Amino acid sequence: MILPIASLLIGFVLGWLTDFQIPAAYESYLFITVLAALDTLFGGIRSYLQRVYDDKMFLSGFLFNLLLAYLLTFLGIHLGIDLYLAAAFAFGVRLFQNVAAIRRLLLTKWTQSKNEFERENE
Amino acid sequence: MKKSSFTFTMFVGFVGLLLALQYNALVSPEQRDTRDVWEVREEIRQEHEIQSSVLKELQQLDEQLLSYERLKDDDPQVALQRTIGQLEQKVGIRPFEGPGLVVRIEPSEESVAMGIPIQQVSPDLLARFVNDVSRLEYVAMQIDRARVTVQSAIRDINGLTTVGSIPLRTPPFEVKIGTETLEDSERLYNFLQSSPLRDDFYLDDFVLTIEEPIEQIRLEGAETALKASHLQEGEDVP
Repeated sequence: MILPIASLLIGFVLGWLTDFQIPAAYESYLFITVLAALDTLFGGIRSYLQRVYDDKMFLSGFLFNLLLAYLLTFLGIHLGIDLYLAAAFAFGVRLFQNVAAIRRLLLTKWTQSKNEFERENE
Repeated sequence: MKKSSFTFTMFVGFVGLLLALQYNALVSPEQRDTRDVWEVREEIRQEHEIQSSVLKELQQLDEQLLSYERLKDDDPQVALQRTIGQLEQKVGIRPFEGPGLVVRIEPSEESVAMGIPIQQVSPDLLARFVNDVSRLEYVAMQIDRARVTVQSAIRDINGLTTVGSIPLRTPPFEVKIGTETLEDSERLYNFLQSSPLRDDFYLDDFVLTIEEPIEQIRLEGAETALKASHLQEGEDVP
């Protein structure tokens, strides 16, 4: 639990201190990458809580989703339509679903442990 | 499980990096500085000019203050009179005497030979001339018989080009320009020699002859009194 948080902070500080700027033309790609990464991250937490987490599934899911999103963005830019919004919408919906699932799982776990604690005390 | 947690931790670090990049993109300045070295140098030059003119003004005011202090015990009226004189000369009411140069506007030889009737100098051309000269520092200017004051308008009144309501004669006539120092006159002379103004005048069949700067030149004061519609006389303070 502490390691991922520390890693998140280190990553953020590194990116912030390097002051690396993405060219304005590629900002929509960056936006999509951030969404895909967040979606994968919450998906990973959910699968970990459901005890079905797998490295290969985790990374391949991220890469394939990202590829599809990039393809849509690329097509959208060349057709003059904001197609990356479709990818953003899909990732957004999945993000909400994952967060809701994480909440349900945590609640169930908490209720179970509470019941067990009460039963033991009786 | 250890390998899994390592991958996940690395991925979380990657997410942090992406978030930072997105943040950088958001807070980056909207307008990028696209000036090249010469544009920046030009701006620095302009700032230098402003700085030098402000310093000059400051020096003048310091001198004035010093003269006030020197005369404080003697007669403040003398200092005030002098200031009034300086101001009157600055706005063009008083005659000017000092270094300067003469610019003669004459009809071109070609137009005389071809028998083209001599026209008046157009207000546009004259205004262009005055604006161009104003880019350098001068103290006083007289176009033909009309002294240019702060309120002088160069315009067409019933087909006649006028400077502050005084009609100009058809060329040849002289434009006298008074400057603070002889160096200023020389600078103005060089500027006018290389200026495209001569071509502009030549297009209208006039020749601009710029004479060498001289130590002493006399410009008449403005004939008409200045109108001060927005200024009121202050009340006497006992």
